[in-house]
Amino acid sequence: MKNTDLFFSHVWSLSRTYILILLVVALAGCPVRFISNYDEKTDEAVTDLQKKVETFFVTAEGQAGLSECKYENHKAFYQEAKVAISTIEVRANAISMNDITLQHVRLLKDSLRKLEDLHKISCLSVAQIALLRSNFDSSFTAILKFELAKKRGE
Amino acid sequence: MSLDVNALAATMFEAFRGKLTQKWPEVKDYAEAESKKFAESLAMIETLKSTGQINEEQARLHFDIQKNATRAVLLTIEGLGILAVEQAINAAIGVLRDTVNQALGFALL
Repeated sequence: MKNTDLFFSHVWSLSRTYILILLVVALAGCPVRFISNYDEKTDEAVTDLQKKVETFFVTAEGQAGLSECKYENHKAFYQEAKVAISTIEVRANAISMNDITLQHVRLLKDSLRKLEDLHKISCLSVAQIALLRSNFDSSFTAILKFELAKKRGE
Repeated sequence: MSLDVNALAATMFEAFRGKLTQKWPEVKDYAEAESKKFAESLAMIETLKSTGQINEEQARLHFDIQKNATRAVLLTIEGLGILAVEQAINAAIGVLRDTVNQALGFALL
């Protein structure tokens, strides 16, 4: 028998063992999981960040055309949002089989960075805020919709 | 040239559908609403740029945020598909468990 044949025979033997173990574990009552379980803290932290972002949009809308609208007056919001999204990212990264949520959070982090870049260029107009609100709503809804689906009908 | 919101929404809706067939009936409404929103946002970026309300750099930043939101929706649809597969496997295992126990005449598994 050639070395490659021996190798594949060994791999097949191992695969059968793993399949058997998986089947026994599954039949023993452990449900198969490809995605992490629902995480209440992630849910709460994302909801909390969504509230902060929406509060910022409402404030910015009210300040459109006024001198208060400048980036310098909103630095605290951006700092808080950065801390919040980093905390969510660290938690999402620590949970196994949580890759989709981690990608979600990184996309949101990038969007927040770009929102700050936009604000640094100039005050946000009402039309720009409407556009931003729509996109941020979609991002937050996507994250929360998936997190809630992880409850799997519980 | 102004963007055709309906055509854009239809294209995006088809992209979402291509991503997920198994869970489609359940996510159809969500995908449809998001497709429409994204198409409208794209059209709005174009309007803001063409009327001089934002410059090229601002348009690019808005577009990047829009892209991130679209990717987030696609990720959710993909994730819901994986959860559906997981659910199907567990249901099949449940049936197998019942069959084995029934054949044996007692609850072994």
